[in-house]
Amino acid sequence: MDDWLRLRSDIQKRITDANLLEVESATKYFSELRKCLLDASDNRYLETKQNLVYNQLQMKKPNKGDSIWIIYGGTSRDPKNFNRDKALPHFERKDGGWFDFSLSVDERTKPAQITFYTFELRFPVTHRIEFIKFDLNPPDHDNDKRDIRSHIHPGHDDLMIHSPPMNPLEILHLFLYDLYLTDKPRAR
Amino acid sequence: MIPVPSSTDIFSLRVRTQSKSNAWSIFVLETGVASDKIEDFKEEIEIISSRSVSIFMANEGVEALLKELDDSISDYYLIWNFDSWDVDQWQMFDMLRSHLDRGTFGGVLILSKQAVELMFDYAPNFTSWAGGRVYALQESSSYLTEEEIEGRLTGFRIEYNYSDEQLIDLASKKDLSLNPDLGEWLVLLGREDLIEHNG
Repeated sequence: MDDWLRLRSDIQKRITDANLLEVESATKYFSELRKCLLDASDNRYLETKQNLVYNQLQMKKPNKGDSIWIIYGGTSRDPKNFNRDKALPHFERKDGGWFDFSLSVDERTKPAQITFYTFELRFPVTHRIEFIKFDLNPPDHDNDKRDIRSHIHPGHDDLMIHSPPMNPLEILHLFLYDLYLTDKPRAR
Repeated sequence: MIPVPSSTDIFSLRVRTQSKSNAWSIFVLETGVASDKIEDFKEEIEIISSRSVSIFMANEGVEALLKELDDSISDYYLIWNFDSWDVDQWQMFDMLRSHLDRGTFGGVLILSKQAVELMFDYAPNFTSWAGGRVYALQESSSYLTEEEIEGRLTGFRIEYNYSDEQLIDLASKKDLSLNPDLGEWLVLLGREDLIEHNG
């Protein structure tokens, strides 16, 4: 067990050393996310129409004197979709998979940094895997203690696996253009 | 002519769907605008429409502006700072408006209310060219409203069964492993000080 705790810490350190989380500014990053979604809607990887792409990508400005922005994709006009209810706003892929996300941009530092995110893709009901979720927790002492700040949930909320932090635009591309399950799984 | 309310992000979407038809628009501002806002607007149009955008200031007069335009190559133009233009300047602009026919996607003139009144009166041909593409700047609807923020907070309180005060207390004592939900919750409460800097 001690070995695993040490290894876990090593893994965490290794994967968070690479800094892929810097961005120029929250508003510029917001436009880049919007363009990515609009392009996917144009080329039909996304079933969600342009007006909904526009409406369902939102921002929370920092309060006066503060510097952290929150960007929402899919969920902001409602409480967070804890129950994976497809009736709530979301972005829908051409295969029926659907997703939402939120992320923060911290402009207290220069360059600005993504400090936390959560991206969840739910697969069509015909597939045995229900969802995959990519989380980056805020940096704090407890996460350091748990050594699993950046992780994925592979289809179950209780399962967490170390994962290198990805720039959210990369995760969005992954959701839009990859991670498609086939009816016939590849041979083992 | 009554300007149509539009945010910069909606305007950027219009530019994205616009063909190479040399369409010129007018954006009317209630108050003055800082140069960094103009840069932000340029950046937004560039990203959303994938077009190259050049910014020009008009304060040196019509001839200087048109010379700069003649010497430039860009998909789209954003021109501002017209407040020094008098009747003569606008009349000359109207006469020389063919310089704006760049064979590209066109551009936008950003004008104060006073400047747009002069343009309407003394540049009638250009005004007619712009047609219905006259917009008044309004705040983007992409920002969460107070009601939407409250909706998010209510969802977190129910899901985690904490009050806002309990959350702040636990986070202050570092008795809480923060996840993205709790991070968002603290930010919405204006307690970003309880979130450590990255790295």
